[in-house]
Amino acid sequence: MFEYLITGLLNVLTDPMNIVMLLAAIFIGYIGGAIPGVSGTMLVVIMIPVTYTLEPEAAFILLTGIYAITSFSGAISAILLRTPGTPEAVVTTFDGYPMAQQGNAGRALGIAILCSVVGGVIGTLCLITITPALAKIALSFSSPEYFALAVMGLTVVASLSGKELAKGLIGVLFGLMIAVIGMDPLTGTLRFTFGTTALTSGINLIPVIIGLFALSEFLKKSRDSHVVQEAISNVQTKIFELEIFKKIYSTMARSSIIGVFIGILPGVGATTASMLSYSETVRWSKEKEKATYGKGNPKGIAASEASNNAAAMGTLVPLLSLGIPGGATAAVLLGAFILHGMQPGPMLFKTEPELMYTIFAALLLANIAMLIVSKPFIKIFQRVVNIPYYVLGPLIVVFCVIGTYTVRNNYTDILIMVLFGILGYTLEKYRFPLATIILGVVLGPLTESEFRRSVEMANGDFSVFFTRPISLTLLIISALMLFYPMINDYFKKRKLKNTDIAV
Amino acid sequence: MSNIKKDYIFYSIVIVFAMIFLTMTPQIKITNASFIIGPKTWPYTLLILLLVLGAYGIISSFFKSKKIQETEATEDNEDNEPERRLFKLSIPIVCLITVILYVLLLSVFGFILSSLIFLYGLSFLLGEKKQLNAIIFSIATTTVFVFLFPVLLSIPLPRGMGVFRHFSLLFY
Amino acid sequence: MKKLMGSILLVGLVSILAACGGGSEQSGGSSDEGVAAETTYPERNIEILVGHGAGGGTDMFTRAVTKELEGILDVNINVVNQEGGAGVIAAKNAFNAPADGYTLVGDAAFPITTAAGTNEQGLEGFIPVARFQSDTYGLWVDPAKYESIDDFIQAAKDNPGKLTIGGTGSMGMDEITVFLLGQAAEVDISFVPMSGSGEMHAGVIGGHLDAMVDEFGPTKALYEDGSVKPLVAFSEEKLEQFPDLPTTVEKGWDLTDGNERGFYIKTGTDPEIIKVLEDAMKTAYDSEEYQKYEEENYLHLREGWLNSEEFTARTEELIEKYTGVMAKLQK
Repeated sequence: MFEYLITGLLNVLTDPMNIVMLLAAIFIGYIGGAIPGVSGTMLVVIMIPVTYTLEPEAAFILLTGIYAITSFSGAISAILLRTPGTPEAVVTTFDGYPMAQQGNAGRALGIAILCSVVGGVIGTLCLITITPALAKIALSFSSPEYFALAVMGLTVVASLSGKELAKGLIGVLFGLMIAVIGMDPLTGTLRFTFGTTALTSGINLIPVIIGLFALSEFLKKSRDSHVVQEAISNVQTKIFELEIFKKIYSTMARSSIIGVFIGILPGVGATTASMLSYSETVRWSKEKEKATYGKGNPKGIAASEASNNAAAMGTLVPLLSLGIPGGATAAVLLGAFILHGMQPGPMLFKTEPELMYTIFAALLLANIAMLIVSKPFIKIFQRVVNIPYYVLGPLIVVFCVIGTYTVRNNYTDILIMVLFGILGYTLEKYRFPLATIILGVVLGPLTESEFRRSVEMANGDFSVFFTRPISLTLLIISALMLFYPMINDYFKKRKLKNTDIAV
Repeated sequence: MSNIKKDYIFYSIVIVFAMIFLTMTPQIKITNASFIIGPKTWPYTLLILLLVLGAYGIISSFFKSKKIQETEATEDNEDNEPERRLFKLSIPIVCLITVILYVLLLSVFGFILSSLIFLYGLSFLLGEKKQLNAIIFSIATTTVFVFLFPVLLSIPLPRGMGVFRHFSLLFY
Repeated sequence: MKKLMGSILLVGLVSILAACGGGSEQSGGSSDEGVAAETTYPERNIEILVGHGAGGGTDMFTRAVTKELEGILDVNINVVNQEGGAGVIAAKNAFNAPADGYTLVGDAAFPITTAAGTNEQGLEGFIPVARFQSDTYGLWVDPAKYESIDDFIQAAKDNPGKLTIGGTGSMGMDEITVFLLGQAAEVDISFVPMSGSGEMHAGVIGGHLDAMVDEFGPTKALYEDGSVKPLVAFSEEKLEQFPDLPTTVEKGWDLTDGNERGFYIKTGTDPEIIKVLEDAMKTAYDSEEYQKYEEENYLHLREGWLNSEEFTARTEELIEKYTGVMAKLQK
């Protein structure tokens, strides 16, 4: 295996065409991913016809390279404009944007890059070394385990909603309710579509998040836009700062592992991975720190970015080892392999080992190159914050519209986005924890369908969640996590009361 | 408005929302009854929980308000900074109306024309002083977007209807 | 510097305005000419709407055909994914576009969505242009679990309602196939709709599902690896590549349906344009590249090509059939 990897590296670095493709992938991925409305999936789809004329090696260096880079670059606009450039970067807006607003745009981007690279490299290394083993683990997961995972993610609502648990719970329930709208994936029944065709496919996550976060922020900012803006951008662009690194390294490591793991599960994807590792990061923080999430905590960025990049690489595990795509972009890559006359799967490792390891080497290089070429990019991007709002504001709105429309070329989605913009503006004035709504929308389909599917697969046996070891463990952990703070709180309060009386 | 009052309004809206959807849930037409858990169970669960939480919120605000009254009820009004206004409306509302108009125009006029109008208008609204700058900005931005999305990346943007559809076809 | 920028932009503005003026005249002219000189079709980019996400069977099919068609018609063809409602949204959008021949729909579920009533227009709103593929289903299992189709049916009889068969989506071809299999073989089997083929494949290999229905292309890698094996092919004749595999017809079950992928265009489109498209598609179908693609993905197991007229008749027949099946299934 090691020799193969060396051959792969040499293949990438000695063939000029391969180098050109790797550089092209980095450039296209960086710019494309940063633009809201152009997702990684879309870029890969657009580039497939370009690769028809290329050798398979060069073609897949380009395609997989773009995929790796866009899993990071979506964070750029998420941090600067509160508009995620790609769906994977949704969670990065939670802490990235507040941090940029506090004058630390450069630092926030630096953290995002560092964590993306670490996540990406860890993901790629897992892909190279333990693919078969990981694929086996992925296979032991089925609907009950997916459901348990979703439940575990949902329980974090307690920490996300701060002091107002009732509002947080309402947020999650509302998000879950949004996810219900549309065609029921199991029975094909239409639910709450109000008789319109446009809603049959449900409400997509992107219009919701762009409306709630980006458009509402625009409305809020428009009020004081006439005030002359002071330059708030931090001049320094340090990607590596020891002080911050000390703070985030454990988050980074944990989130990368969670990312790889969620990524290998077919049909779960990088957005869910970053949501879940964000949840875990909040949960693992000290009580005092929990309130700082959503207000510019570097760990929030680290969690989201490390895990979505790791997950992006993770989705390639079942693709390459079993021929089963782990996510949307992986499905497109599967298509690209087929159009090039190859069938990903265990056989491909035997018939085309050199190609496989060249792709691995290219992914590794792309992830590392991300770190090297980032500095000039960040320097340019962080200036965005200083653009006068009468220029930036209108641009953001157009991005909101395009970013929504291009997801599935649906006009109704734009209307939905505006609706959520109004909602977000109102709720934010009221200091409502908006992230809880996103939590519900992201995990909604997983929670409901997988629960029902589990029962269906077990022929109506509801105990299925408790008889399977993995799902049981996950459920027990989430129950403990949910009730621990409450119990802890209760005892603390009692203690406090007792001392009060005593005084 | 005091926070307690806001809470009352919020929880009432939650209750109304849950009620409306609850009355709609039985109307879901089941098209395939062979499933153990049907399509109605999950929305029922969510909506009932929402209803319970809404009721809980109102009750707890009621107790809170009593507590505050007992001690001292002086609420701070945070949102009282002076606002720039246009036609007696606050700027965010005007901006919102502009955005809504833009979105509606999109379906009729297509991306190019509505963006030209919108970008020009909004940059004025947000404090651009010079006419020419606003014109240049709106044209340049629209050009870049049209070049980038439909032309370069073949990602279609709204075309509008009738004549405007033909107009957009000249560019992409 | 600023002045220079300004003047450059001004020049740009003027030229755009000029283009606009010229443009509106042009567009007025071309719509008049459209009736007289059809042979000029296609003059600009064509859009093909696909109602499914990128990477799926129908999307792949559209892209493979588009690759050939672009060269034959000498225009750009944009494939636009408009996911949702098993293709209904793409159909609706195509119906709202003018019938000028520049908007097509690539679909596999047209007869089913029409039968189910979700596709409101049906054949009144659309004309089938050409069918490219008539894909073949197989019933796939873990080789360690079942030896033959008889084994499987016996197991289903011993445990009525207990065997789970995965498929993708609900109220689609997969579910209909499983439903019809249950009826034909007189067994009670339970269909589990999975969210995607990835999850479904993992379900069978991981032992969470007893079987799945899928086509021979997407399962190729898993089959070659020995992770899954087909028990029966849903076809009339034996498949060349699988000489030992029994067919449904052999077993006495009249089940040969599969996804039939083709293109549709809005009713009212100039017949000449449809003719141009049909001919171009036939050339694309016969091209070496496309045939190679079919062979590599087991799409050639059955002859796929039907021209507009044949495909229309076939679609009518299928809609009628599925309307009957839906009535039973939805009970």
